[in-house]
Amino acid sequence: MLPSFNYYQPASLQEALTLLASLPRPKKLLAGGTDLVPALRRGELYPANVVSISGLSEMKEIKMERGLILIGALAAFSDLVCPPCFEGAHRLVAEAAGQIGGPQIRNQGTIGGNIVNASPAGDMLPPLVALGARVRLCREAGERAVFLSDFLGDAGGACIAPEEILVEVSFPALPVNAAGSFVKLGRRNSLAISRISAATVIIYDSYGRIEEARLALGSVGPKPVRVPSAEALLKGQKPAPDLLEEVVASVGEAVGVLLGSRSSASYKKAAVRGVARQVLQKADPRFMNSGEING
Amino acid sequence: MTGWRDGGLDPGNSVIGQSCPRVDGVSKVKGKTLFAADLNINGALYCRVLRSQVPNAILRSVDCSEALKVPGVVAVYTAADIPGENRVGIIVKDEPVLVEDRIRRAGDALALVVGRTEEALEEAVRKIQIDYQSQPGVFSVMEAMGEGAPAVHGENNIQSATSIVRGDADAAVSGARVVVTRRYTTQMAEHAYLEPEAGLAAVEDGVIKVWVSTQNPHYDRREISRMLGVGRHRVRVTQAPTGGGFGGKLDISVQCLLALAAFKTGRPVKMVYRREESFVASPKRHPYIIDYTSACDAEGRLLAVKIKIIGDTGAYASYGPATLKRAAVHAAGPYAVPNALIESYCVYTNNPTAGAMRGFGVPQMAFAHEAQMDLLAEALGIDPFTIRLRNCLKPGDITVTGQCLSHSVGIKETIEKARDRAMELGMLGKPAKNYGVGVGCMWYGIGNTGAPNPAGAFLDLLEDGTVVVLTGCADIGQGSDMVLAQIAAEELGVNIENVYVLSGDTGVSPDAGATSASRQTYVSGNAVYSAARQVKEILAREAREILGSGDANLDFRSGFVWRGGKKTEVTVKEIISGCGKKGILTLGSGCFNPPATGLNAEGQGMPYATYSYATQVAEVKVDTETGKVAVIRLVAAHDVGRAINPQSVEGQIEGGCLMGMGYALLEEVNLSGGVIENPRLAEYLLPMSLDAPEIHPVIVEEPESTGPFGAKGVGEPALIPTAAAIANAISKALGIRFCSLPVTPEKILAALEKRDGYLIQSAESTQQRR
Repeated sequence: MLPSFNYYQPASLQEALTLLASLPRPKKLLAGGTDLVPALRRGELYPANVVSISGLSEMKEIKMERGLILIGALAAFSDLVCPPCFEGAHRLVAEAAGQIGGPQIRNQGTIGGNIVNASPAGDMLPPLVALGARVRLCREAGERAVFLSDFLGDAGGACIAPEEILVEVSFPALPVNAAGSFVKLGRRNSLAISRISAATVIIYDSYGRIEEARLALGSVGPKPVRVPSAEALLKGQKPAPDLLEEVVASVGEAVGVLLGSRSSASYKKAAVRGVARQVLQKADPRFMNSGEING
Repeated sequence: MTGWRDGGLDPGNSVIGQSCPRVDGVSKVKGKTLFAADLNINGALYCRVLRSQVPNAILRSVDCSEALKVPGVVAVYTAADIPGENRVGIIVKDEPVLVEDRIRRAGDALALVVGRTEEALEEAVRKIQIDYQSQPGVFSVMEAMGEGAPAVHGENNIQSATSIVRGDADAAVSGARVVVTRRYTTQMAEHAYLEPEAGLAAVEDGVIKVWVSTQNPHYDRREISRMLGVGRHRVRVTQAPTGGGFGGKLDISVQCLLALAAFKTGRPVKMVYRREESFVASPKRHPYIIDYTSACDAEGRLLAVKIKIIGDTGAYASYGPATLKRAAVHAAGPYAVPNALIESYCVYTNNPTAGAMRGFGVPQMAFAHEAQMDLLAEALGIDPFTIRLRNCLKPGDITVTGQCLSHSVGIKETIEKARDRAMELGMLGKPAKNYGVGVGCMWYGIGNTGAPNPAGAFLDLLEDGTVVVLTGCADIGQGSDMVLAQIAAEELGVNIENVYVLSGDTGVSPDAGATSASRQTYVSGNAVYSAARQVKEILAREAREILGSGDANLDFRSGFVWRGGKKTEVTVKEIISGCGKKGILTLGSGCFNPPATGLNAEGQGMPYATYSYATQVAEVKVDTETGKVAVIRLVAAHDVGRAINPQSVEGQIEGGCLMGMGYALLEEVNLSGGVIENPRLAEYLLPMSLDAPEIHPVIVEEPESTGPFGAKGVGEPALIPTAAAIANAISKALGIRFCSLPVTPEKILAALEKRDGYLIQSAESTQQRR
């Protein structure tokens, strides 16, 4: 059963920011509600005030402007699955959004909620970190923009003040010769929490060599981690099966160090090799052996 | 008069074997069906239970004074308020409706709050003061069976034991060519029906009426009447449309609590479990520890089995004793084994209660005996299908309980048909890396194990041609109403649309026993069949008079009277109205109790009248880096005797396969000190549609002469061999034997690491030897 609280439904972002500034704590912002409502029902949160911003359509827009892809914080996961701007190299955003929960959750849950909730298993986070995303936060008195990787706390959680609203997430559009992909390992194929997820972005030079590679892993720490050792191995190289073996081994080692003596460590440090392999092969088929391409 | 047993079944006009659409189908698909939680009576009060958080404690007192002060609270009841016997249980009356002095598991009901709103109940439950003293509990069967272990009930934690002795197993093992011994362990599992337990109760004219989601309304009535200390004439239990049961709604859940609240307050009351409560309060599938030795000769013919089974039944017996007895009877699998020594133990612990769950203790055994068959085959280099065909039961064979199987032994045909279909589908081709195909066989005795389990039915033929069937048989979604309608329609020769089945209401229908043990098609089907035969006799007498045809061979088909195999102009409707004009009512009653016997001290006897058989073949792909298993295809060949409604049979097979896949790979109730750690569907993971493999059902029909139109049962068999087949397929894919369910990615990676480590070592030692 839901606890009782005051419920506000502001008509504009400005009104919401004013409300947030004036309402006493504890207060919570409601977007899609797919994390908040179950937590309320379980009695994990007792906010005195809940401000619903779910009706603010101005925050649902997805657009490309001046080389940036801008996603309104209230865009639902299902809104991220189809737009043309998430085809090609940017498809890792659509791939991650399309595997979250089930259809009902994807229709309801928002990208902003996924970011602010900052679960270690939040599926939108590794792709956005790999894309070098920034978030824009507003308060009544002004606004700020920070890199997502800095916005997410090293010990978990998001660095957001109770008066702030995350209004937008953006990242620079990738150049033409780039690739990206996302892979998730769950216990089942839908409605599954990621046990490990991986997102990669690869930018090539004009000779087809890797100019820059980014690999971000989810569910192996409080927030997504990049794997510098693996990225360094890829830099300057042509994608090939032998290279992949080296990269995969280095990912396994890095994750082993990250997880230390946690109970899940022995499984995850082995399984992450498979996830890393899949995400790189999905991004660039040159990582596959010829036999694998033929199936 | 002819019938199907005389070869009189006319396939052209027969409704048997037709996939008649379910009467309840459309309203369920449209969401119009009113389940127990949807029922309401104006002014109904709500009920909620305070449950124990600790698994073992002395309960000193329950102080309700603060809870009673909460506005909207009408009453709070404890054990002291129960007027009759405060003990329920299908086999052993060992479970209190509300605990009086001893808490035996986390989830035991301590107090019942009745109030006007859910909010008031929630507050009141928090304000009940419990004074208890925790006691050391036992949380594993090994601990529970050990010397000096705290007793959950009485003096000893061994609730019951079964032993089966046939021939001389020890001598046979010592003379065998191959002997394989393994220990298998299986997990605790949850039914996870879509609809959590719910009900409504009211007192009308001194009768306590309960509408409830249940698998056994007549049992519910018995327990309510004992608990209230009133005659059964003062209790009426009506089964509400039930959203799945799988054995988990055979025990008492909300029934007695609702009846107590209605009886005490005199007001209508309603109760709906939340999902977490359903997890915590309902019985589970028994976890087993199975020590299994199989011995065979050089051709792979089984010579002997020696098996010890220990099942954790938790705090209360529930269906545990029957589950472990059934496990012993089925332990050797559907194979002819001349020498057997089998023991099974049902053991109390302070864990959640384990009871009946689809398969009734046999899926665990199938996992073990099918792994053993593969191990024997591997040792001799024989194909998995060949070793099974070489050993499977055939008519004339004798089971480990000494029962001679004379007919309807379809195991051989299911193996052949499953193999052939797998071949057609290209599943048995050249083995690819990390792909595996596994075989699982099973047998399953229909009805209760060596115990009477009768069913009754009434039948009333109305003048407009309507056939009313009254049966206690609870349709819990599996479609028994339709099957019983088809049986009545076939025997009386009327259209299926004219049959109305009124089921599961103790106020109007006779007891049909539990919807469990895959028994309702066979047992209630026979009861309806014999009621219809009785009515048919009445009709035949009248028909002979109308036709003036003496002892001619009469039958009723598609609404007409047939004489000597030819259709006449006389309709069944005319016959009924002819009877009515003479004051003859066309009523029938029937009952059936499967011809079976109990087991003697050596486990010998005829525990079931008939058995269903099945073979499933699973194809899997294992990702050796992540340990993830994808089940690609499942072939499921089931000998059901006769498929009364083939679509229902296929539906049962498909659902069973998916449920069995969850049991094989995903599902596990995790316990910590007797407390469930994952009592939510977000944490207790079931397979979803995107995990579903391609399922290919194959219906095999080896008619059972004592069954209605030859039918046996399929409800539980559908799931029994699935985990066995999948586990065997994984073992084939990796060359590693898995002896513990579920086969999780963690277990797979750990085994691969162990093996590859071992391989490196053995390669080194080989070099050294050189």
